[in-house]
Amino acid sequence: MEQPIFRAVELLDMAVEIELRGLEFYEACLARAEHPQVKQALQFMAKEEARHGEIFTRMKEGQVLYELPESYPGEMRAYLAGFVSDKVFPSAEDHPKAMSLDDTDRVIETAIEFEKRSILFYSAMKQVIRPSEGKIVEQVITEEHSHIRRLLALRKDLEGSGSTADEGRG
Amino acid sequence: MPDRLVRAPYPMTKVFYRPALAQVLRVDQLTQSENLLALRMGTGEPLNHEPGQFVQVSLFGYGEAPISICSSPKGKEGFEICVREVGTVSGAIHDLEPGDWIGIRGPYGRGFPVVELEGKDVLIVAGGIGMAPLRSLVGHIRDNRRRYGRIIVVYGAKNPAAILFKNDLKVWFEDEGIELYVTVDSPDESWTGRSGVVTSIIRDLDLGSSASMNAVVVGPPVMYRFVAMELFRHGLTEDRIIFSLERRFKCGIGKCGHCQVNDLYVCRDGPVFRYSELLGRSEAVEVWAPEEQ
Amino acid sequence: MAPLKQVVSSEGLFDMLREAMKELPVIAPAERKDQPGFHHFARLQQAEDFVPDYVTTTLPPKKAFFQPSETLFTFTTDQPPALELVSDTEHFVLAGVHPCDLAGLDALDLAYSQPPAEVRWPADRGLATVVGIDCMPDDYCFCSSVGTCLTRQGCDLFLTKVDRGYLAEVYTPAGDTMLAKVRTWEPTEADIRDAEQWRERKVERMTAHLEADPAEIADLLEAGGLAHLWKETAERCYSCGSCNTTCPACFCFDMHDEFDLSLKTGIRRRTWDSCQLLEFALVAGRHNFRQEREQRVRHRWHRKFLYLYRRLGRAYCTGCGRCSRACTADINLVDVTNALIAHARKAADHA
Repeated sequence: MEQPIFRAVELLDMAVEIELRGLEFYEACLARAEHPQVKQALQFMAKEEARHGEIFTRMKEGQVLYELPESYPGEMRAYLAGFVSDKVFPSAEDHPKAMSLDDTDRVIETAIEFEKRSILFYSAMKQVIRPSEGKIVEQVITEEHSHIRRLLALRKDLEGSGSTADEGRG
Repeated sequence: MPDRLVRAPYPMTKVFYRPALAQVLRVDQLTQSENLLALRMGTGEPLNHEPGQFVQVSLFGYGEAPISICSSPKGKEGFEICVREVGTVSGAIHDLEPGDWIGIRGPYGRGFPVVELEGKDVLIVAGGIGMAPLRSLVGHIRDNRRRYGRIIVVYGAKNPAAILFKNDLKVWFEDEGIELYVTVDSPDESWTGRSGVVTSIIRDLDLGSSASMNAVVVGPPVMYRFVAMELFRHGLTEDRIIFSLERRFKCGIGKCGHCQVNDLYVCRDGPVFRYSELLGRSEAVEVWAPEEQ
Repeated sequence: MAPLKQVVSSEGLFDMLREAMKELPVIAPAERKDQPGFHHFARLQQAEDFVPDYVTTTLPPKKAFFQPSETLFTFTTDQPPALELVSDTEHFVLAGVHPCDLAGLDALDLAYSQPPAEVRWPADRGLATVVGIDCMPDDYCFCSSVGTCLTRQGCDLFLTKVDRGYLAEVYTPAGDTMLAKVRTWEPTEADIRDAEQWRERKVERMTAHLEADPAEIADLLEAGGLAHLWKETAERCYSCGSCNTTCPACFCFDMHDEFDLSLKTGIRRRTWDSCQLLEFALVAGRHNFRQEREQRVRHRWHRKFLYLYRRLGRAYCTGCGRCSRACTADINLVDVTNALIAHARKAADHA
């Protein structure tokens, strides 16, 4: 199956949807977290997801917006959300399982894992996006790579500062 | 010698755009906006349609609209159409009562490949009013059940009140030869069934390793590509995914140009297409983009 | 087989029409009363009104068979309703048709007869005796580029100007009957040569040309990569539909019902339609599958030179130049097509 099926604009919608799921996921974790540094890391993750959502929304600007008709308001979004629901972040029903992130290392590891999954997803999607719009897919992937770098930097910072995460583990 | 000035007449063929008359036998309100009409041709003749074909329905003074036939060809008396009230013609159809007369042209178009599907497993995916043409297919399969393999029907409606053909669904649910899944996108308190878009059901289906699985998909424009993506995940190929498109035909016979999807006339070449026929053509089920530079 | 050829004098041509008018209505190019110097196909009041060397009409002669707006049938609101077909039964003569317009009629014969065929167009076509006539091009004509210069399909009789009148080619018994009413002569070698020279001169004088033949145009449209040209053209286009309305090879239409004042009876009407109009590809829910003007412009070229070329084996363009003459935005089909060809060839060279 290597035919253009989706527009880059739609991939951006999916990306926004994925970031939203990330945000929901980290906020669900945050509600359970107790250790201040874990909380701090989760807040960082949540903020990053929100920031990315905005970046992808901005990338939509200047793209041709042409949409299929909906048979009821919100239909496209329902299908988009359904499509990406388990592609990167666990679905909302699975949140309880994922919420026991109790140390910063694990939080960051998990977050990196999600970013990697998202890159895999976008790379796979490139097969079904029009070749002329491949650049936009690349931009999305680059954005996710930079996200991973920020996470790695964060981990280094925390290690350098004599992380309290170890205490959290006790 | 005036007649020698006259050319030999061109061979007369079929379509003169004058409909045949048909009478409304029954009207059932299915939902707030959809009615089921049972019709009988004025001649008393059967319509002789294939599942997936459509008729041009005339309400004189209001106009003509294409409407899919939703009954099995083996219908005891006449045929049925399911009409959603959206425009002038469909609005007028909603005011019809038993005994009223309307005009019918057709059946037209290429229906579902019921013969090619014989011996195969069929996954039927219906979204919203897409259930109407698919009801004719399910009816045909049930009438000829032994000719087909495993039959799965996945039907998604906007909400519980929008579910069409509830009586049929009950019968299909009891039918051991049909695996039926019904889902609603927006459940209400009374709803105890599944919720979510149809793709969420398809994702969880166990289609086994059956290489003979074909999918027949009819629904709102938004639905097609997402269903296709899930079907690809199950290993179906484009040529085993069958769609039916909706356009506003005027003539129904590939002349008036209104339904053209690139080089295809939906009314004549379709409305039923394999996805492989639509890929690479714009204006079918995907979002338009200027062609590649 | 070569058609029977006869020579008729210039006066004889008018006599022939005069004779035909005794039996049948004759529709032929005449000068427009409202626009002197312009011509239209109209029912002749007198044979003298016929203008043999007319300039291309605004509307093509297809209107003699399919009027811009026509009644398909009448209905009543009785239960059951009474439907009555409205169809022309009167035979007529359509005279003075240029080869490109013969090609247009032929293109529509082919399109409307594709199964499931409609009856209306061929039935009306069967009512007419068609007399073609050869012409000289103006700046917009490009029939030599699309192979319609010499079209004789669908005509009963064809006339070419020669020194001592017209060389008449007889294609059917009906054409023969028309011609038999006036005095004719066996053509001499000089007559045959005159007619040949006319055709040569016609091609020589053609100033507008497509830079590729229809087969190549179909291929390059199929190859795509012309988005910016569609966009550029669309930026100039007003989506007025004049190109379609004046096209002899366009055949799209719309149908709608009209009640009369009593609300007890009415008609179903069929009207010419245009794929360049915004509403053309509307579907339920007000969605438009060709919302963007560039989509519609692209559709027009694709339909004429690719879709129908592949499906029916001929380009749905007759080279008459009407669309370019009529365009309110001065979009010239030849110029745009040549730009497409040039771009595609350049792209191919770079590949």
